[in-house]
Amino acid sequence: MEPEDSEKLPDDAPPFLGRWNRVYAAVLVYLASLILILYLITLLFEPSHV
Amino acid sequence: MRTVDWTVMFLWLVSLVSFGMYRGRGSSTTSKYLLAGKTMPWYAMGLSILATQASAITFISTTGQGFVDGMRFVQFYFGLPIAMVLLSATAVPIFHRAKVFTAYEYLEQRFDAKTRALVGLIFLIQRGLAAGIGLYAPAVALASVLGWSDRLITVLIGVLVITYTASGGIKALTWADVQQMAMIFIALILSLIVVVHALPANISFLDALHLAGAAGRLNIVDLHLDLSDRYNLWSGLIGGGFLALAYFGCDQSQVQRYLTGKSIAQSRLSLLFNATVKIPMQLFILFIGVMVFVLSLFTPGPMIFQPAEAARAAQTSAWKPVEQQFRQTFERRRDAAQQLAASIRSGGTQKTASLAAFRSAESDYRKARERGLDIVQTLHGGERFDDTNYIFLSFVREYLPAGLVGLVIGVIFSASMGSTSGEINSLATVSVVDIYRRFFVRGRSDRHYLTASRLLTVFWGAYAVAFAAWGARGFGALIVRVNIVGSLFYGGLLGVFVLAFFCKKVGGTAAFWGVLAGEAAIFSVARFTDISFLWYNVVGCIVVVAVALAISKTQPAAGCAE
Repeated sequence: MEPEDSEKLPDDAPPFLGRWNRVYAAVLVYLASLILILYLITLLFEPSHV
Repeated sequence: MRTVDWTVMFLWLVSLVSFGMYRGRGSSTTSKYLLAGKTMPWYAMGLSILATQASAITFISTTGQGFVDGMRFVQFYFGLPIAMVLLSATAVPIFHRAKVFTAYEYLEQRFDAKTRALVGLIFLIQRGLAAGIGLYAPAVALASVLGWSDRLITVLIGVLVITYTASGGIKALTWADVQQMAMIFIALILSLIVVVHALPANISFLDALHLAGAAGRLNIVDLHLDLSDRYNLWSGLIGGGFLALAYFGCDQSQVQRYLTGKSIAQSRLSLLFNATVKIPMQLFILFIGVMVFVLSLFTPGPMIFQPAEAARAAQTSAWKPVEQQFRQTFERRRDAAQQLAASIRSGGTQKTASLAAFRSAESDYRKARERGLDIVQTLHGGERFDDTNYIFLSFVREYLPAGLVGLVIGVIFSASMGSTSGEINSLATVSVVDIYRRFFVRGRSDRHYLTASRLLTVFWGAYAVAFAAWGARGFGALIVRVNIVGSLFYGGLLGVFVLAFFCKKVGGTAAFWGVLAGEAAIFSVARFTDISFLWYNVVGCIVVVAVALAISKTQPAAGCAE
C-alpha cells in the first residue's frame, strides 16, 4: 500500500513566468489589486457619496 | 416545482452520479481509490477543491448574506490567496515527496505515532461533526421548497453520494465535482441575468448599484481593526489567512485533493487556481444576493422567508397589525427608492434629501420585519430565529422560469453532495490509513485495505446521513456555527504542521503536548472572551508552537529552522 508513481514526481517549472517565485508574486499582486479595486468601489458607492 | 423542473433536476442528478461512476471506474488499488493513482490534472483538482468548499449551505446562505448585510463577507476570503501561495511553496512539495496518503501520515515520519494518532483523531471528530451538519442544514432548506421531509432529502442525498464515492473513490468524486462546478457557474450566471431583468423598466443597472450603495450593501472593504468583528480587512487577511492555511494545509478533505496531482507543479497550479478564482466567485454570489435585495425594494416579498414558520406565525393575533405595518413601510421604501434613483439620474440638489428619506424608510422597513421575526421567535420560546438561508430559495420560487428552478434546486442538491463526498472520502482515508492499518491490522494485502476503504466510505456516509437525519436536531445553535466548530480545532492542527515544516529539532513529545495546550487555549478563548472565531486559529497556532518550543528547551539544540 504505497502511492503509485510517487518517485516520478518532478518539481517542474510553471507553465508561465518561468519560475514559481514569479508566479507567487503575480498572485499576491493580483490580490493587492483586487482589494484596491474593491476598496475604490466601496468608496464610490458609500451612502454619503451616492 | 413544475413537471419540467422535476425532470431537469432528476436528469441533472442522474447525469452527475453516472458521470462520476464512469470516470471512477478502474479504481482497483488503494492508490487509485484514495489518490487516483496520482494522475489528476490541475484544473480537475482545482475545481474539486472549489466544489468541496462550495457546500449547499454556502450557496444559499451567501446569497442571503448579500441580501441582509451586503458584500463585506467577502473579506473573510482575503487571506486565502496568501495561504495558497505559502502552501504551494511548502506543504505541496513536502507531502508529495513524503509519499503519503494523508497529511497525518507525514506527522509520524516527522514526529511519532502518538502525534499522528492524536491529530488524526482530532480530524475525525471535527470533520465527522461537520459532515453531518453539512447535510442537515441544506436538507431543511430544500424541504421548504420541495415539500418533502428533510429526512427524506437527507437520505436521498446520502444514497447518491455513497453510490459514486464508494464505487469510484476520489477519481469519481473529483470528476463529479468538475461537472458540478461547471453547472454551478451556469446557474449563478443565469440567476443574475434573471434578477437584473426583473428590475422595473425605469431602473437601470447603474441605478441598482446606487440603490444598493445607499442601503449600505456595497460596503465591501472595511479598514477598521476590530477583533470582535469577523468581517474587516485585517481579520480577513490575518484570521482568514490562518484559517485557510489550516483548512488547505492540514484538513485531509483538502490535502487529499492535491495529493492526486500527477506532479508537484500540477498540485501547485490547482491551489493557485483557487487563489485567483475564489474571491471573484464569492463576490459574484454575494452580488446576486445584493441584486435580489434591490429587486425587493420594488416588489413586495414575504415578511418571513421560511414558508412554514410564516404560516404558523400568521395564525397568531399579533401577526395582522405587524404585517399591515410591514406592507406600509414597504410602499414608503419603494417610493423613496424610486425618488432616490430619479434624483441621482438628474443630478439635482434633491439627492441629499432623497437619500435621507430612503435610509429612513429602509430603517423602518427593517424594524417592521424584525417585529415579524420576533413573533416567530416567541413561538420558538425565545430561541433566535434567522431566515437568511431561505431568501435565495424564495427568489428562485418566485422569479426563475420553469426548468431553471429545477436546475438551481438540482445544483443546490449537488453542492451538498460535492462537499459531503469529499468529507466521507477523507474520513474513510484517515480511518484506514492512520488508524486501522497503522494500529489494528498491519501487513495485509492491498486488496484488503481497498475493501476496508470502500466499507469505511459507506460507514462514514451512513453516519453522516444518520447524524443529519436524526442526531442534528439537538444541536440547534451549533449548526449555525459550523465554521466556528472548525476553528476550534484548526489552530491546533496548523500549529503542529508549522512545527513539522519549520522547527526541525522539535520532537514528537513536545509537539504532542503543544497540540493539547493549543486546543486548551482555543477552548478558553472561545469560552471566556468575545474574540471572533477567525482569530482562534492564530491563537491556537501560536500556543502550539510556543509550548512545543518551551518543552524542547529542555532538550539540547532545539529551535526552528532559518
